[in-house]
Amino acid sequence: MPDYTRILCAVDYSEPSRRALDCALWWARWHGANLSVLHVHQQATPVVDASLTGDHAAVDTVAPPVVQPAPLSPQEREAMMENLAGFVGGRRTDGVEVELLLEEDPSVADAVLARAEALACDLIVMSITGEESAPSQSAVGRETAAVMSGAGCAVLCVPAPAGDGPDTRLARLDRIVCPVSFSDPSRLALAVAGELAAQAAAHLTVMHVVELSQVAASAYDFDAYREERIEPACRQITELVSDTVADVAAVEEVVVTGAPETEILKAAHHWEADLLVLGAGASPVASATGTTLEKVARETPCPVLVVGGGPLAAALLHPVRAALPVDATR
Amino acid sequence: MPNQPIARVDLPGLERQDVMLQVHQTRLLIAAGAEGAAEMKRHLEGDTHLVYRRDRGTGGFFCSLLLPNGVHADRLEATLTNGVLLVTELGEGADA
Repeated sequence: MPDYTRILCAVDYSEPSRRALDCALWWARWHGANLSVLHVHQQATPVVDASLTGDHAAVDTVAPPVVQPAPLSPQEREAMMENLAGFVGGRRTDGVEVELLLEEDPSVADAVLARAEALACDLIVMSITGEESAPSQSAVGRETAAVMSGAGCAVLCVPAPAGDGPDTRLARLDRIVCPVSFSDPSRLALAVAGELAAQAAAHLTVMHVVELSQVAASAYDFDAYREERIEPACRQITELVSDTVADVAAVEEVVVTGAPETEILKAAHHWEADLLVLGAGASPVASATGTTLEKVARETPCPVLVVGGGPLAAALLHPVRAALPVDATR
Repeated sequence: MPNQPIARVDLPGLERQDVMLQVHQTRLLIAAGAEGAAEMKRHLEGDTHLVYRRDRGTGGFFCSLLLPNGVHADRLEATLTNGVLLVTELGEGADA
């Protein structure tokens, strides 16, 4: 069961990270969790001082001198902690125990991951876009992407606001959409989605996208090719839902055809999802512009919960039954 | 020629009046409940990406199945017995 008791929220004082903080506070209230709010002061990357290498560069045995960035002074740290307290202070905490943390590190992602591990956090909350992304860009922030791929616990990625006004999707859980690929990570994601749906009495939509290769299909009958892909998917999703989330009162299974990222985003909009739950690495489709997960995170209208490895994964994963019941046949 | 089974779908708890069947081009569309009817409408309007949907809470159902080559729509027959929908093509000599 995804019992989130220790949540870490990374903030950079941007508006998207303010939304992430509100979302983290809502999840902390819901689960009765402690919340740690972390700001990472990004140090300059240590550099080789070229002025000091000179002729030594040609000598293999002499390591070039490295200039380490100066750490924050006590006064600077104090000022930054005051900023952080001010950032958090205006939010609605409703009794949630909030701890403020300040780190100095050249890599925000490394600092977040290290702190999450040290605190044994079971959930990291971050905005999808941060200070590094211009408002006009809808890209997944570099640091957020690194945390998504490197975390040993679940990561909740919060999108930038779609428009003016309050976004109720951050503070409710009526509809969860969980895309599955029948891989182990996606089965884990479905187990978590099912538990969350049961806890929140939310409606759960389990969807699978059948990718149809036009190139392969052009070699022979497209209709037959399409049907050969769809029929097993319908049987598998029925089996998966029966096996994993049978206890959820309001659950539906859906099979669609098309490009995974497009169909997942369409589903999130069509069903007005409050949360997408995906397995880290659940969608093996990769391209030069990133994975399906990153593509979804780039344009999602609602928070995305990325369920990865860690102890929870080991506890929830169990062997797939070999025999699949036939539900709909031709 | 004997009757040929075309589709068998589990629709537990549903009655005959809850189920809709329609042949659209080369496909057999099966729908049940309000959600199923809505999906069938979307499908007929050209959104063919969703091919299967089952809501376990409401019993809503939709699926789009490719008819085998040579099947005549006017010879299809459907029965719903104990929550199992069976669609068959009647063989030669049988009354459609």
